[in-house]
Amino acid sequence: MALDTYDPSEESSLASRRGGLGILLAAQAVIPVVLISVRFLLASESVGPVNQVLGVLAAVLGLVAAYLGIQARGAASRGERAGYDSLLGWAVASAVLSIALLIVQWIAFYGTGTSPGSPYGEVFYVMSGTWLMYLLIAAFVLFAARVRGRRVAYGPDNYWDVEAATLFMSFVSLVGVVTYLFLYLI
Amino acid sequence: MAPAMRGVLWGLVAFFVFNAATLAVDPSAESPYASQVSVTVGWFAAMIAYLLGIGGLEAVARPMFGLSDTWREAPGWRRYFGFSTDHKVVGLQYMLASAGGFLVAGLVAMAMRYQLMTPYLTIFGSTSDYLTAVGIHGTIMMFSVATVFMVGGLGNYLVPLMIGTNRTVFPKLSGLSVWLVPFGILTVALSPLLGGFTTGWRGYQPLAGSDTNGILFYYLGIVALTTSSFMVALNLTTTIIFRRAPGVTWNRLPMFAWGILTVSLLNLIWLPEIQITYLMNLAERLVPLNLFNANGSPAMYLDLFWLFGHPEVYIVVVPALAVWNEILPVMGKKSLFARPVAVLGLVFVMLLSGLVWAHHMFTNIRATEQLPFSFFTEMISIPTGFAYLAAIGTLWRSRLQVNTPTLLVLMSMFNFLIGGLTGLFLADVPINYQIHNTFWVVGHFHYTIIGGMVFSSLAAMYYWLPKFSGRMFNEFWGKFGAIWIFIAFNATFGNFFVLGLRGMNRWVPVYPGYLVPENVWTSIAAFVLGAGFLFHAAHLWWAWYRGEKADENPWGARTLEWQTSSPTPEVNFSRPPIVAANFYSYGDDAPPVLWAGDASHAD
Ligand code: HEM
Repeated sequence: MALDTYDPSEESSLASRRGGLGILLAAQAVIPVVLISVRFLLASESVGPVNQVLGVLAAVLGLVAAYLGIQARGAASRGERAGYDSLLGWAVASAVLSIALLIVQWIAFYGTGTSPGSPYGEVFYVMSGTWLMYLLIAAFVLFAARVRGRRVAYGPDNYWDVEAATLFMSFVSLVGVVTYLFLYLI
Repeated sequence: MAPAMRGVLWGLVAFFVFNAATLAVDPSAESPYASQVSVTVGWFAAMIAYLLGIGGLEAVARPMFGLSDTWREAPGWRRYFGFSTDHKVVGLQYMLASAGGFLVAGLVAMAMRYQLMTPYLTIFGSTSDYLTAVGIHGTIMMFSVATVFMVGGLGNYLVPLMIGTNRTVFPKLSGLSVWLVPFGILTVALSPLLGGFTTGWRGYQPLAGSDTNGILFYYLGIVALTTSSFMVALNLTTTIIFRRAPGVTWNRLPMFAWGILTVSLLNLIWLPEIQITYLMNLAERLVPLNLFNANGSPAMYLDLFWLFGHPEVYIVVVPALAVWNEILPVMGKKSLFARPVAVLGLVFVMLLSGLVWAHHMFTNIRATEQLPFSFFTEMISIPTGFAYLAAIGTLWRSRLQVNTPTLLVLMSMFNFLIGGLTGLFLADVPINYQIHNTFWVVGHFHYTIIGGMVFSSLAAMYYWLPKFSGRMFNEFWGKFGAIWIFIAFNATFGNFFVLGLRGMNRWVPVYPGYLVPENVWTSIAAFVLGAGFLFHAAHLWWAWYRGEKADENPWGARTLEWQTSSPTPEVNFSRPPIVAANFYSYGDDAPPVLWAGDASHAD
């Protein structure tokens, strides 16, 4: 039996989902705050032999993925199937590339001989590892939104999945920027 | 196959497959059967497979990729053994899972008390085994009972009803989250398979660093349990903010909903904090790193743990304070006294709870740091007192019906008062130095948790039983059981204070002989208490199926959950209830709660 005989309107239902996702992301912001504190407590302001270019590129690609996601959301809300499909595809690709760059950075960092157990080594792996974990989840949800979009056409009344994936990617891109700033620069 | 069985099966298969696959490529493997990394990878794979197996595959994963949702809930009682989106089913599943945790951890407590009847090792082979028992007891009690029964269980069931909605905002999320509770309990309980852990529920470093691999299951179990609680907090917060029926303004929001909202906000802030801390611990072990061990900063771990750990105790108790003020006006047929003050009390407890963490570390911090933490700790008793103020003001000159729920609330108020007063001694630094790490502390927190939360949960179960089941408990046996556990509880834990003052340390199964008589009769009282809890469980179970049929609103309460039929119908409200008056105004001149002309009863 359907549980709702009075269903909240589509509009208010969307508002509540947006609100809920906002609350989720605000709560997740606690995690970078903890990591930044740990970073300064353990390694003060020291910066190890990281590759700045790789760091900047990984952060920028995260921002690109978020931007493409936002565009895809617009296309989905207008029901432009080809548009959102390709934009989401590029967003996934950017996120995956960002992940790849972080892995390359890990290998390069390990190659410098810095021990993972040294003060900067541990904050490096912990902070960039968290960034990586978020990126993996974001790439997965963007990918799922794309696959779903091929089966269920998004349109003006049905684009929440793209919106949610995009909001999450936007959050992750900010985590990337903050991580870059506090791990590579300050 | 029942979804729960399928989940377990898939989980086991995933564990073995991923454990073996990881082992094949793990250069650090210490044994041919498992390594730290392989067990961890296997565990995560098992968790995902298990969630898919209980119904997540059809209801969540398929729709996520654009395929149709093919999940069909089993009819009747079998729906409780699988994924459900009905908040009432989820609420009851949470209550059952949490009660299961209580049983497991309670049996472990009985074993601990049995051990403590003698000053030398008897049933435990080594002191580490005893410490593993303490850790399993504390961890399961805190993360699957204390913070789960009221919030995940009563919260999921009652909050949507109380605010006049038919469903939560994220029903699929809570349909999955509840299944993490048995998974987490089992993980922690199975830690002896990997050697157990000696750190207790707090996972203190650097001790954890020298523990066996059993500590992995402590970290992973907590990850599962806290993820579950986080999902509940997210869902219920969003539901309270966005799904209130017309007229359920913030000013009218029921007390219990306020309680759940405040603790959910605490959960939303502090659960991610502790989760990342535990993930760091996990990485520390697997990589390994030196974050918190002797080369790193053990004190930082203490801070990170208690930053969460202290709000955690308010997460436990705030819903209990709310339940008092939910039940007393109804049973006294008197308007809730100073309702805004009671609400503010809950909110300020929430706000202050983040400022007191270092009082758990008085022996580890500088004198200059002790004062502010001592100050805030003592200050928090003021907003806590607001809950008492509202309750006592309501009781004053009321025509109180002293039935089982009322009795349990009054007992809870008494017990929690003792818990609070003994906490004030601990907040005082010079006294803290003397009684730190003794059974005084253990007595104090059992008074707040069992005395406050467990007694109030039982009160809630009796009060809302007619709502859940449509049946009434037996008043005589209810009161009998209440008096039973009240006496046994005070005999057990009151004696913990005496033991503490006489020098009985925590975390030791071997102690000086002069403490034996005191310990023996404390243990006997503990067994009587354990039996008392079983008695309540049996009574409630009996009443649920065989109790007399109850009236739809047997207490004459005004909150919305009682404005629909009992037991709650499949569809809570067939039309949105429109609320026109305060829920807690009693008396002859109290206006009707529902807007005239509104018949929100389910058909
Ligand atoms: C049946 C009633 C219970 C008995 C007899 C009991 C007994 C005990 C004892 C003897 C200890 C201390 C062991 C030691 O330090 O050597 C202990 C610790 C603890 N108990 Fe209980 N307990 C009971 C119920 C509960 C409940 C309901 C909760 C919470 C919901 C709880 C939470 C804890 C915690 C958090 C610890 C600290 C564990 C640690 O030090 O890591 N207990 N309990």
